[in-house]
Amino acid sequence: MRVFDALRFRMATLFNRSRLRDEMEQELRSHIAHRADDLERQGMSRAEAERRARIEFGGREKYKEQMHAAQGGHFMETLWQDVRVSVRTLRKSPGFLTAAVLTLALAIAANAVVFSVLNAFLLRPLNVTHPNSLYQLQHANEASSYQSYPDYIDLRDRNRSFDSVMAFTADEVGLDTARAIHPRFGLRRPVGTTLTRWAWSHFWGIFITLRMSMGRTARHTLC
Amino acid sequence: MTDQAQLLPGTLDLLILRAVSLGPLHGYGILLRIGQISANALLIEQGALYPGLFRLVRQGLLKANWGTSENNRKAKFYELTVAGRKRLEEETASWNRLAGAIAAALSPQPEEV
Repeated sequence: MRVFDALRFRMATLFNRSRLRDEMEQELRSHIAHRADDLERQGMSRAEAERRARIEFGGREKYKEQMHAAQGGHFMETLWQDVRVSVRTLRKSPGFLTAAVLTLALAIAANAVVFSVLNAFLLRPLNVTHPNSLYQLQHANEASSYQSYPDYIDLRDRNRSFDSVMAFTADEVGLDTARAIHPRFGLRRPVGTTLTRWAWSHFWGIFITLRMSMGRTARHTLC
Repeated sequence: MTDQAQLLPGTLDLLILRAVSLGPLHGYGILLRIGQISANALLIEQGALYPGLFRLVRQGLLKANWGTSENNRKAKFYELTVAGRKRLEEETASWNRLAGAIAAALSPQPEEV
């Protein structure tokens, strides 16, 4: 609520500028009148007291400016002025305006393309029809998710719950770049798999390896 | 007038809060009250008070209302908000700590006596 109040106040300072100025002027005049009352009580004539009080007080305009700034009134005003100056300047030089708009448009378009490509190829989960119906099978009483190949065959042949079942395995391997050996995840052909099945796993493996090198791991592994 | 001390930056706000802590006052009244409680030892430009007042209102430490003064003139009266009273207490404590530390540092040390 305080944010709203502050904003409303700033809008008020922008649109009721003259009313607020009047109020400041009234307040300062009231101060000077009270000071003059005191001076009059000390024996001065009213006219002399008022003159003295005004001189003592100093430049009212300077203080009103400072009061206005203390209220935060300058923020909206300068913002509005900036907007107007920009619009005027841009109108005066349409060539510059066109160049600026084109540059921005191209830059935004290039960014959008690069990000959508990166998003589609690297950041999105595996491109399967229903990623949310992709599960990794694991024995409930084992901490490891590894299964033996005969178990896999049993699962595959007796599967009634899933559309299909697939096996894969991932290993950490060294990637030699002549300078250093970087750990990477690689795919190993499961013992006893047929070549086509291995190629199929390997295909997914490329994606998984890529994603792992990018610092991400697959959310679900295909089984 | 020459024996009046210049205000340190930031102390005007504290003095204003202190002055209105005893009850609502208009601007001129605040000046008189500061003079009274500081035995006229501080030099405050009359006009410089007002930007300070507006700043404190904006910070929600003071609230202002138009009313009629003891001289039967229209005047804007300032009073402490709850936040203002809290701030006054904090600032007073922190000022006393600072003043005490400076006074201790400036007092004659044993090796000087």
